[in-house]
Amino acid sequence: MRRPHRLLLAAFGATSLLVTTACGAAGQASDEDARKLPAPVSVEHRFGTTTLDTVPERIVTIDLQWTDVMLSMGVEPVGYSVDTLMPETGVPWETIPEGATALSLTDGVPVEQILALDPDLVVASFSLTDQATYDLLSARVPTIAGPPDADTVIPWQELVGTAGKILDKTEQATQVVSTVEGQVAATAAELPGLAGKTFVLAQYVVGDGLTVVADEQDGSSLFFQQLGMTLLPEVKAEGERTGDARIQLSTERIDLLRGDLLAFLINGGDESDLADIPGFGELPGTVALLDYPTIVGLNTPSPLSLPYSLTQLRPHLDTAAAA
Amino acid sequence: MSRTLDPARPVTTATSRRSRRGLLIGLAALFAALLTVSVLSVAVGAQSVPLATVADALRDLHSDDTAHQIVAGRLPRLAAGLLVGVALGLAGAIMQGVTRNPLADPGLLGVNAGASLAVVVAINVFGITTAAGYIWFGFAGATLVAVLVYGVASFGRDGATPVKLLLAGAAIGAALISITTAVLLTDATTFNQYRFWTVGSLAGRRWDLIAQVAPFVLAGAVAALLTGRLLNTLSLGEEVARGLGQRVHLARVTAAAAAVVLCGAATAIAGPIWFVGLLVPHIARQFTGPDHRWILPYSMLLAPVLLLASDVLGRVMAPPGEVQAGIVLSFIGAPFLIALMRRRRAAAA
Repeated sequence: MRRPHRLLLAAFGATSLLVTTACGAAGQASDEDARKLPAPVSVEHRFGTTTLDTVPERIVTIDLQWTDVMLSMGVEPVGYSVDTLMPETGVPWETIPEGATALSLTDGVPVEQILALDPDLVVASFSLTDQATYDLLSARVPTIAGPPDADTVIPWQELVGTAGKILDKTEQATQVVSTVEGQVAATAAELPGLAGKTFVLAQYVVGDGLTVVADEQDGSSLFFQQLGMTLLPEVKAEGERTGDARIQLSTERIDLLRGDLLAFLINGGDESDLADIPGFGELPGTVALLDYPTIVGLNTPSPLSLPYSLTQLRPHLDTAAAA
Repeated sequence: MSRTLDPARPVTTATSRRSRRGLLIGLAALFAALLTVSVLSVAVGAQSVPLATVADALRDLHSDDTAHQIVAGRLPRLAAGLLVGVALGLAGAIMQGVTRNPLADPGLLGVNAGASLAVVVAINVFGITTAAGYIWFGFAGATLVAVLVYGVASFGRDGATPVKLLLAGAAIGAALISITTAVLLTDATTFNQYRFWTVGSLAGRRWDLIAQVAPFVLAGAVAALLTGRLLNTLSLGEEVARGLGQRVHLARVTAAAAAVVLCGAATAIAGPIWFVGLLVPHIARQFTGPDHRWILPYSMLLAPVLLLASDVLGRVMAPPGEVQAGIVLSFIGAPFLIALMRRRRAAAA
């Protein structure tokens, strides 16, 4: 789910302009003893194509999905971004290796701090949307940004596949994908009642409006589809009409929440705020009110977050399957 | 002709050119417009509800019927728009009158910044998470800053002159905004809560909130409407006002107090929808001339008309989402204000 405060913070991205010259040629130092990839790997992203010839060893991960993907591949990032809305104890499904540097995105992507870690690869998804910041980073370090549409979430399988190629660990990547997909498939097998049921993944930004995932191709939709469910057709139609992967809804558009399963986050409030949404109490389907980490795990899924969110969601899946 | 209407000009001749009858008719027309947008704001929304159903819901509400709930949800929103509009329209007119500056508005005088910081403190330090809980902080913040600005502006030989008031307001406001921003940037949770209040929306305001604030708006509005004569005297300039036996200081404090109560109340409900307070008195003066006894009631009716119309427009212009009333209002209001400013007459505060 696009967290509104990122919009505000984006404005501060430009502050990192001071960095450029200070961090000299440190980035290239390890080139000689670096392990060559069997073939150069090119990754397309928001700002073009980044090609890697050697296996990166000091990776900085911006955004949760990439941190998780690297961890699932057994790679410890030297730096990783933190999400301040997560519990103080950390992201529930992550064990961050000691020595990794936590990076705050509060003032935008901290270019200087990242370069000080002497990385040989920076990977990011939705938080690196500023061309100037990308230019600063990519001039020093190979940098992979997110998809062209910042509102679209890349399927985690694709990210793991990319990581496998970059790290020259394609077999392990296949294994990570099949293990997690196996868990989802097992749930689907246990709950045949989910087949053909409709789902909606949404949040209410209290006092403002609703945000709903409206694209079947989005990385967050695939999980529900692998459980046998389908995106609520009315939501899908709105998404096609507006052309957005995530659509903003008035609180009056309760009709677009009427899925057999509604996975829902109250963002910036509590259950009393549901009174702002007329008809919420009369929704026909199973309503799963989930906490922030669980919804993030579903919204920007990763091989680590999905098993966690699946467990949290399971009681609601049982109800929906039985309905 | 309009060039002769400088601020120091006695108001009596200016008003006499506009017939009292004409002004009353204008007021009645504004009232009719307000009724119309009020009806629209109940009947029109992001979800289309048939008029018959709207009427049904108003007559006999079935609380388990979603369409009825939608209609019921539009009522506190209408009330919020009315209260905020009335409050900001009057507050803007008073502030421009008291400071004799057509650019004065609650934002420029630091009241906005004071209320914002107080709300952030309520969330961040006291952990208050409901709107109904932290409105009191917004209220207190607005009042404190108004007193502070007036106090700072009063230093020195001339006392609180209009220019000093504006400068003090701008300076204190800037300081408070930077503190607020610093807190918000370092605390995502506070930002998340604060957003409810800062989006400039009338959506999701509930009856308990409305009920708490309404008495202040009513009291403030009555007081504000009675300040017309005071403001007229003040508009003659300090020396003239004093010469006419007016206690300038007292007059200004009385009028400003009413404005602060109104601003605090409006801020408590909808956050910073300030532009309407700046814009509306300028439009009102187009019709009334510089007589505050007419500017005030005109502003009081005109502001909710604009605010509610913006809200209704915002509900239908970007389906299936909504655009916040504050954004729509600024969007249509800004060019309008510029056009007004280009006519010299508008400068006669």
